[in-house]
Amino acid sequence: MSLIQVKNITKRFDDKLVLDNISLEIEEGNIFGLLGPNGAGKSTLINIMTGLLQGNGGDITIGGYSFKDNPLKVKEQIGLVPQEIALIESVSAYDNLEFFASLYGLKGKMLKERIDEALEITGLKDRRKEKVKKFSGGMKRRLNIAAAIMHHPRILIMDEPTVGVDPQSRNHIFEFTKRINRENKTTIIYTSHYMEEVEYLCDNLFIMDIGKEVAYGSKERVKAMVSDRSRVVLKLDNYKGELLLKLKSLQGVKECIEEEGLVKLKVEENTFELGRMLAVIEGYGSKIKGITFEEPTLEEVFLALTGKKLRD
Amino acid sequence: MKLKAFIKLLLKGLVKEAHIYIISFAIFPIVLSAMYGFFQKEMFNPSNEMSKIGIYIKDEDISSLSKGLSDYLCSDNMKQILEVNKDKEKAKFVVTIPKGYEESMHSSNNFQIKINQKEDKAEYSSAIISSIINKFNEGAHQQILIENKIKEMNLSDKEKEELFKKTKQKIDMTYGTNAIKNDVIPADKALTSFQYYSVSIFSFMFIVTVLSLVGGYYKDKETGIFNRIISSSLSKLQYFNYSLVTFFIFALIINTIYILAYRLTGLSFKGSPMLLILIIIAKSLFETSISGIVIAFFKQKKHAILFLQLFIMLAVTLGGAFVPMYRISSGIILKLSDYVPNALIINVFKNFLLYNSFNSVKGYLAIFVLMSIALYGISIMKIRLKWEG
Repeated sequence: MSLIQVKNITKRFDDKLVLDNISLEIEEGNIFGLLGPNGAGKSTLINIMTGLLQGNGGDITIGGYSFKDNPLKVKEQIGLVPQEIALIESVSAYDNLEFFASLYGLKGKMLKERIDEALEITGLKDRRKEKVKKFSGGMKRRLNIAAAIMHHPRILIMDEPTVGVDPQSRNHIFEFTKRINRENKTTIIYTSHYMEEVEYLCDNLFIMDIGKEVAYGSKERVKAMVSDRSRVVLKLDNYKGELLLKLKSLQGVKECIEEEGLVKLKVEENTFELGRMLAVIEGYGSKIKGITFEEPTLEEVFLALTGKKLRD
Repeated sequence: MKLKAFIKLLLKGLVKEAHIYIISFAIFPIVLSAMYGFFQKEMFNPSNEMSKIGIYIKDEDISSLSKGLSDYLCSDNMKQILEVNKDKEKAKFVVTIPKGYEESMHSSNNFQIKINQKEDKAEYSSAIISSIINKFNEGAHQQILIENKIKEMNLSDKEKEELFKKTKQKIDMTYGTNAIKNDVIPADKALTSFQYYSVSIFSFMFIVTVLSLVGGYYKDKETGIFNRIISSSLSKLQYFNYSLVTFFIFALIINTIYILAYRLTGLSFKGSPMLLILIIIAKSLFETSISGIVIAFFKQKKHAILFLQLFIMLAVTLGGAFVPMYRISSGIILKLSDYVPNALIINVFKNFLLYNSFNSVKGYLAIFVLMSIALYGISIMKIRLKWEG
C-alpha cells in the first residue's frame, strides 16, 4: 500500500473548478515532483494535503489514516516548508524552532536535541541566538526548512524551497533534501519553478495544468511520453548550407539548425535512421568530428505537454 | 503544552521589542497628554467646571435646628454651589430632614437625612450635598456641646453670651462656603488635564490595540506562519482559541504598560489598584473578543480593515467627534452613544478617577464582560461552521 493516496480530489472556489478529480499515489521514500504552471492547482492540492483547505470531493489517506476521519493523525506525519519564509522575525532562530517543535508535542530533552539536529543539518548552529530579521535570504530559507523537520515527519512537503536563494544555499538545500531522504527515508513532495532542480532531485513526477492531470509517473516514463523528439548534435568539418537542406529532408528529421558551430537535428525516434544520415554526410564529403544524442529535458517535456513554459 | 508555546513566544517577542512598546504605549501618550494639557489648561480649572446643584428641601422636623439647616442651605454663601428650588419638580435632588432630627442631634443619636436623586449618573452632585449637610451637622453638634458646656460654667449671663457669640463666629468661619469648596468638594472630583487626556488617549489606544492584534493575525497569514501552524497537529479551533489567549495577554500587557506609566509618574490612574486591575482585565477581554470576531468572519485583510475603519468611524461619530451629542434629538442614537466602545472606556476610567469605587464602575465592567462573552460565542459558532477554507 502506498504511503500517500490521493483519491479523486475535487475543489471548487465558488463556481471555479480548481482541482478536477485528481488522483495519485506516492510510495514511501520517494522524492516526488509536483509540477505545473501558475494557476495549475499545485498550491491548492498542497493546502488540502496539509489540512488548510477542505476538498469538495474525494479523500487523502496518509500512512493508513484518512484526512476526513483523522485529520490530526495525518498532520502529525507531515512537515511543511511553505513557499513563504514562514518565520517570526522578531525572535531568534532557536526561539522559532522551539515554538514550531512544541506544536508537534516535542518537549524537554528531546526538544533540545531535535532543535540542535535541525540547526546542524541546515548549517545554522552558530547563528542560533541571532534574530531572524538579521539573516540573509538563504539562511532564512534554510531555517524555514529546519522548522519543518524537527518532529521527523514521514512526509516533507517542500513548496518552492529555493525561491530567491544564492547558489551556495541552493546547493545546501539540494544536499539536505537528498540526505534526509536517504538517511531517514523521508518521503518528499517537491514543487519548483526550476526544472533542473526537479530533474536532479525527483524520482517521480505529477504534472498538472488547470486543475487536471497532464502526466504522471516516473521521470523516465514522463519523458518517454515525448521521447519521439530526441536530438542529434553533430560537429562537422567542411560542410555547406546545402548539406543542412539535405539533412532536413531526411525521413524523421523535424528540424535542422546550425547553432554555435554545431548542427542540431530534432528527430522522431521511430522513423529516423542513423545510417542514412551518416551516408548523406559522407556523400557531401564532410567529416564527423563529434556526435551526441540528447534526450528531451523536462523543460521541453513540460512545454510539449502543457504548451506553456513552467514559469508562465 | 502547545498553548504554553504560544504564550512563551509572545512573551519573548514582547521582551525583545520592549523598547517599541514602551515608546508607543507609555512615553508617547504621556508626551501627547502633556502637550494637550498645556495648550488647553484653562479647560481644567475645577472652579470653572462647577455648575449649581438644584435641590428641594422637605422639612418634616420643623424645629429650630432643621430651620437652621434650611437657612444654611439657602444662605448667600451656599448659592455658589446650590440652587434651592421652591418647586419640587424642578429640583434634581430632594433633601428630606426627618422628624426627630433636632432631638437626635441633642442626644447624639443616629439619624438620616434623605437625599433623593431624581436622575441617574449624579453621584458626584449627591456626594457634594451629602458632604455639605455632614459639615453643617458636625458644626451644629459641636455648637450644642459647647453651648451645654458654657451653660454649666460659673460665669455671668453676659459673659456666657459673649463667649457663646465668639465661639459661634469661629465655628461659622470654619464651616463657611470657601471651606466647603476647598474641603468638602475634594480636588480629585474634577479631572486634571493629565487625567482627562490619559483617559481620552486610552480610548484611542483601544483602537490601536485592536488594529495591532488583527494586523498580527493577517501578517501571519501573509508570511505563511498561519499555514505552517495549521499544517501541524493542531485543529483550527485550537489555533483560534490559542490566538485569543495570546491576544488577551498582549492587550493586558499593553494596557498595563500604559496605566503604569501614568501611575508611576503620579499623573493619573491613582486609586484602588484592585479596581484598576479589574478594569484593565475587562478592557483587555473586550479588545480580545472584538479582534476575535473580526478574524473569525473576515478571511481577507482588506475586508477586515474596511470593517474596522467603518466601525471606528461609527464609534467616533457616536462618541460626538463630529456632531455634539447634545444636539442630537434621537433617543436611540443617544442611547447607542453610551455603549460605543470608546465611550464605555472613557466613562469607566472617568468614574474610577472621580469616585474610586466599585459601585461606580461595576455597570461598565458587566457590559465589557457580557459583550465579550457574546462576541466570543458568535466567533466560536463561525469557526465550527467554516473557517479559512
